[in-house]
Amino acid sequence: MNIVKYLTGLVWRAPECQSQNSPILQLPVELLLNIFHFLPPYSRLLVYQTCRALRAIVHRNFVAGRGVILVTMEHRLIYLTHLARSLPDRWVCAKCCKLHPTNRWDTPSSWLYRPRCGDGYDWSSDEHSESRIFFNYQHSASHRHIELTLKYARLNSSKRAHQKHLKRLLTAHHAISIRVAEGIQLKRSFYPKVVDGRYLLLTVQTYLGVGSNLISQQSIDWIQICPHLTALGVFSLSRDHRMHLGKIIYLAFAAPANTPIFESCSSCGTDFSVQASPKRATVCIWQDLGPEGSVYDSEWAAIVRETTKIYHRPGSIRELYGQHEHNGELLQIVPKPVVF
Amino acid sequence: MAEAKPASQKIWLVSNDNATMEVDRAVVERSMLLKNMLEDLGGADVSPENPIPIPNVNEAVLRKVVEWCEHHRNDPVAAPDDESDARKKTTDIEEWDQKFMQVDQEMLFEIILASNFLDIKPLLDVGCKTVANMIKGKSPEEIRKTFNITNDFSAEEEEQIRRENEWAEDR
Repeated sequence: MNIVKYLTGLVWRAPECQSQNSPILQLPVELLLNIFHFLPPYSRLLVYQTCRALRAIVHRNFVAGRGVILVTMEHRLIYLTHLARSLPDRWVCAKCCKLHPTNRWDTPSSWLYRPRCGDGYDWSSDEHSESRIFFNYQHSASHRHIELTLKYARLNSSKRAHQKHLKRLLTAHHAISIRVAEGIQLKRSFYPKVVDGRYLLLTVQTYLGVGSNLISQQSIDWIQICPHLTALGVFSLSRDHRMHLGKIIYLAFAAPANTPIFESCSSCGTDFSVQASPKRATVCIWQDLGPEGSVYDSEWAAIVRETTKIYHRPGSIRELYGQHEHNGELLQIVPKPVVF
Repeated sequence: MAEAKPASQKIWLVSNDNATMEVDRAVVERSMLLKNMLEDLGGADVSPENPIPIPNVNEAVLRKVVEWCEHHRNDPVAAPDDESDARKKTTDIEEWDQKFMQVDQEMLFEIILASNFLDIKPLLDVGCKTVANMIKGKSPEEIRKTFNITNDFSAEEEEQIRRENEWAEDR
């Protein structure tokens, strides 16, 4: 048998080109279907909205007779998260499972805007937290703030409203409270930053004695580093973690004045340091709130829930945050690790 | 009686731009098409002067395909009807294959077409998974941008898509 005849009889016939410019549209339908079989249903629905040719293929093979089905809440939210990547004027609400319009005054520090659905946090569910359950949660970035910050940064939109909103979202903000019973002043400063497409947050908590009052280990028995490292008096989430945190604070007070003790949470993307003297104690917390994604992503889930755990190399988030400067301002308060 | 086929037996392939390459028979047999053909023909008349033509596959693509087959020459051959759900569900790609697939889109789709023609199912899966991973996590606009697809929807079709997504709109 002639080898050439054997093979030329088997050569595929390329389909009529639907688009000369797009190589993917020149693939035979059976190969496109092979590719789409590897996609989750929500990704197929997004392909369904790209062009006529792909819409027809997805419709014929995955949608027709079945309707547009996203069975689980998780799939619906992930679908919306991906859909909203190109919509700077929308954010994904995990509570309502809807796209809410963006409000340009919505920032972690502002009270000027709150979504109608609360702040997007579903108190009845631990499954899809939009906000963090921090005692100082009103100053913590919600998931929508991270979503919008990273989206604006990625899209690099020339629209002034988007640029201004991004600037507001990345502006450092501060909160001061006085604890009369303990005679201390607590100042909290938040410095958000985007590094390599990730939302990093540096929180600096400074405890100062009011008048002649001195700072002691007991002065900072109400402290929340992350969901896993919490010491809220008797309400601490975990006895082991409270003891671990208590030990670090003890070491900071036992060390020579202002010698920082560096530590990390073993369950989420958090590095922190504690340095103390009788007049002042400073707790710095570096957190990685993750890349763009849904509230189901492990990095976000670990930051909002005690039950979700991820590993990171201790100190890596502090290193990723880089120079301790924010919008050109050098943060003198932040300690540097000692190299032995 | 079937002729013995030592693993080191050489086979010659020629691309559609007339580049001839010498490949071990064990490597060539990663292609079910060529394996069956060699078995049908006995392989006796394949020589440097009479190589097997691979139509529609140019030298660069054929070299890539042969490189993949060389690396995976000792992999177990999957059953022909292995269409299990597990295979379809995962888009995990082993590290070597990920690096192998770091090519421009034109080459990626050529590899997919060539592996389909030559019936190299594992390579076809790696190629399709690579494209699936390029689609995953992207909005329709990003998918268009990635693959240079023109939005050719009419105003009515755009309206239809908007209606399909109405459930997600805040009212």
